[in-house]
Amino acid sequence: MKRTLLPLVSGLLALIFDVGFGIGGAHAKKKARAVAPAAASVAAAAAAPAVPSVDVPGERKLLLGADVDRAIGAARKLGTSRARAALDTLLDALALGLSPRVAAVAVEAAGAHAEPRALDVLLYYATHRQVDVRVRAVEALGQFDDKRARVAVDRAYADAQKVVRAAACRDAERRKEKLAGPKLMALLVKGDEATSPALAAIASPELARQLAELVGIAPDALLAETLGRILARKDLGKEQVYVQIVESLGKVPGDEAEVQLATYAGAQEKIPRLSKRRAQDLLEQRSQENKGTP
Amino acid sequence: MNQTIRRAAVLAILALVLSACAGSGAFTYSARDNDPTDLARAFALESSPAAGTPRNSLGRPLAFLVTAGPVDGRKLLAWDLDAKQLLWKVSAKVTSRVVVGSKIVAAREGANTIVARSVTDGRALWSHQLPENSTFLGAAADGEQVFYVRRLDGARRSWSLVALGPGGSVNWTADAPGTLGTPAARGGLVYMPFLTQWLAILDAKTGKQVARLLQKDEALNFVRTTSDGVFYGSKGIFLLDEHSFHGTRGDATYGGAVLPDELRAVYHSDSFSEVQAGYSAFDRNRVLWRAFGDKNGLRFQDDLAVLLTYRFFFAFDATSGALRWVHNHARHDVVSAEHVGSVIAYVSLEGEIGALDVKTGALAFQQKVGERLIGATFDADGFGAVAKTPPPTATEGLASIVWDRDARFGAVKLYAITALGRLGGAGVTEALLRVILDETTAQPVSQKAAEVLIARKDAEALPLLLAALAPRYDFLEGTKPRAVDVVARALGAIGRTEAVPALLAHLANPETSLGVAKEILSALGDIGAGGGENALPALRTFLLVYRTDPALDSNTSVLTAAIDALLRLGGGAGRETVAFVAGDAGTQPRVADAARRALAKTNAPATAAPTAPTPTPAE
Repeated sequence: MKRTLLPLVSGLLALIFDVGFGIGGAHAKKKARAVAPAAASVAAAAAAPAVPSVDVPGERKLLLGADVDRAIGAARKLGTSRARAALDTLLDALALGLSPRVAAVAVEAAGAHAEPRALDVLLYYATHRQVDVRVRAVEALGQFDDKRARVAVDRAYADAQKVVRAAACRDAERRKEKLAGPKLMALLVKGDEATSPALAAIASPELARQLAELVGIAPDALLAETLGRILARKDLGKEQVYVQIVESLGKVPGDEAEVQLATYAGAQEKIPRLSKRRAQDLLEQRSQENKGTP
Repeated sequence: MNQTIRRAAVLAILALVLSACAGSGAFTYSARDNDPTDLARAFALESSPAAGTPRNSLGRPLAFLVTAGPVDGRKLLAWDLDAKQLLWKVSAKVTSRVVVGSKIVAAREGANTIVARSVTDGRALWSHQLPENSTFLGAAADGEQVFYVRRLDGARRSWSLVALGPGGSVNWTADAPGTLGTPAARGGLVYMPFLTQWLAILDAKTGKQVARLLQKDEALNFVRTTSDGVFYGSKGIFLLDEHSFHGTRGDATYGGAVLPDELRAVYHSDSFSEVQAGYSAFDRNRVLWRAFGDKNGLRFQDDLAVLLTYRFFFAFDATSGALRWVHNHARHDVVSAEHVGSVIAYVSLEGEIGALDVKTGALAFQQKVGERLIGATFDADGFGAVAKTPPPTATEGLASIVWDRDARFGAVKLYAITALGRLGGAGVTEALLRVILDETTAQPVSQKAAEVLIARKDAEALPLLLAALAPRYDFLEGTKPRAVDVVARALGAIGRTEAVPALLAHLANPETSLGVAKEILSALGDIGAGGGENALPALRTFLLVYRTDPALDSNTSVLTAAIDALLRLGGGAGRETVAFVAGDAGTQPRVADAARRALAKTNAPATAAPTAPTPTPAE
């Protein structure tokens, strides 16, 4: 069957663009003006490497074709292009519906364009029923400074699926989104591993103190790993802050806390530090306690 | 000759045996039935009690309460309902219902002893030992006599009615060749159900049968005496009066209340049930009534029949079956209750004694007797008490039953939901929603509540329904919406456009199950032209995005609902979308089939549109 768009479908697309996803035409231009410069900078950064030449009509045919693997390849190629038609093709295809495997790649590819007119489609796909598609949409939306994009990423923290929540956590880590602190801590308590690097990335002395209060509430290993990651940061300020984090780590039960203390105590540094000595002391103390335990 | 003498001797012996069997002359197969003269003689013999007065010689409204627990530790309490205080309490191994005469109360105590006690202070006056191999089948009292029925369980069973006088002496015995039920007595007459067909009326002094009624078109399994009449029957109630001799429902004073099929309705304990000779589950499931006769037949007092089912009282208009009031007795089963005239007196398992206004269901009083109870006999005709607080509305009463945590009463709750559905007011929808949204509700109850809620089409309850859709799935908060499908159907039935945004929000939620999504889509279709157009873009997007999803190909009902909704609401554009879905190769096969079928149903087949050149991108 010949896979060309029918006039009927063109009309349909126009209908969807204008009413459904709300993208295209003047609406899109208006959105473009509203998007924060960050999106433009992302786009600029993405455009910095040599942009490969892509046969958009050819890739379009493949994207809409029945061969899923070839469609995925086409979506990837269209994502590398910075041509307006490439993004249009991706958005058209997503609007008309793609197999979930293809859609996941197409969403990522559309996000790579970092064009405001992709926002409505990405927002829709951030609530897609297939988890992988949702993950890619959240990751793509993370590249936008648009308020609606931020709301969508924020909602992803409460998603039922761990992998989607992890996507939101990675976004917080990448953006060093300090406002995400309470949600990340709540997810840490529930055992979401992706919170650890994110919390470490946004940690402040105050956040480290709040984390210390989660001893016995959050999973021990995850909390210890998080505090260990925070200790690895060099920019937390006074030595006393590190000492306090070490003390907190010392209160966390389990092997992971000892691993983190040992890692910290053993790290090579030019100047001897109080916090490292304290880490060593705590390790020895725990070692003695372990020996005394029958 | 010898043979002739022998035959004569045998006949003489047989005659003697039959005459011995006949005892007092009652309960023979050949006695005269349905004789108006006999019946008139019985009425003439009766010294009718004053209506609305207790039997006991103290003239006080009394409740005789039997405590729960092992038989050896049981107690019998006399409680003065008027004074609201204990009259007396004695140790008594009561194992049957308590029957009340003028100066005595009596019951079986232990395995096989009938003990009569003073109504004044509960002290034992006399006792009577049942013969070995006999079974106690129930008793009645009148004046200072006690009448009880026993069955001799030998090689051949036989039944006897025994009259015990002061001191426990046997005044007379009437034997029967067939089953006798529990007797009833009043005004010098004893009323005996016999073989579930006859009501024998005996002179209490002699045991001689005065009259006998053969009920021709209804079994007879109870007889009840009150201060204002004698009643008998089974499915319905006969009043004993001058018309009773006809022996048919049509000609006698007969009637029954219109009661809901969902609830078990029994007018009196089964006289022929050995179990019901004592307090049993029957006492917790019965109709409480008072009746009288007029030219239209049997009439219920206040045109009311009150149905007790364990903890719940439902008062029905006896003629129409309409629910008048409801009372939910909190927490504990009501083990005995009686309609004593202007109130329903009751006692509960946990020793609560109280009264409800018959006309309104308002609680007149309730107090604790300090003992757990297995049953009670009320001798309190004419007792009244004034309720100080207004009764709950029928909606409140039914709602409290529907919400009740007691899991035993599925059938009652189903009835309560049905009854709620017939009532008006926002409180009804609120009550139904509370049931539906409570995840601990039993599935059949929740399902029934959903049916009623949807059928109500209660537009005034729209804010409540929308509020029910407000919760969202949130992993962080640990929240999730409940019964979105039911609420969606209810909103679809109401058909108001205000519901569209909330429905769309749930449709877009990936945690919304496919089944629920289907109901949302159907509801959007039902909301229809009144505003469903607002949902068109979302409907189109949903269909297009998921038409290619293999996960939805195995469950096409969701997308079929979307297709149907689009065709109903979308006009030409909606049809174009469906046609595209039907014809595009990317659509999952079953979804495409569904689209084609839907289009075909609308008499405009999906035609292949002319091809268009592929847009050329400008790179």
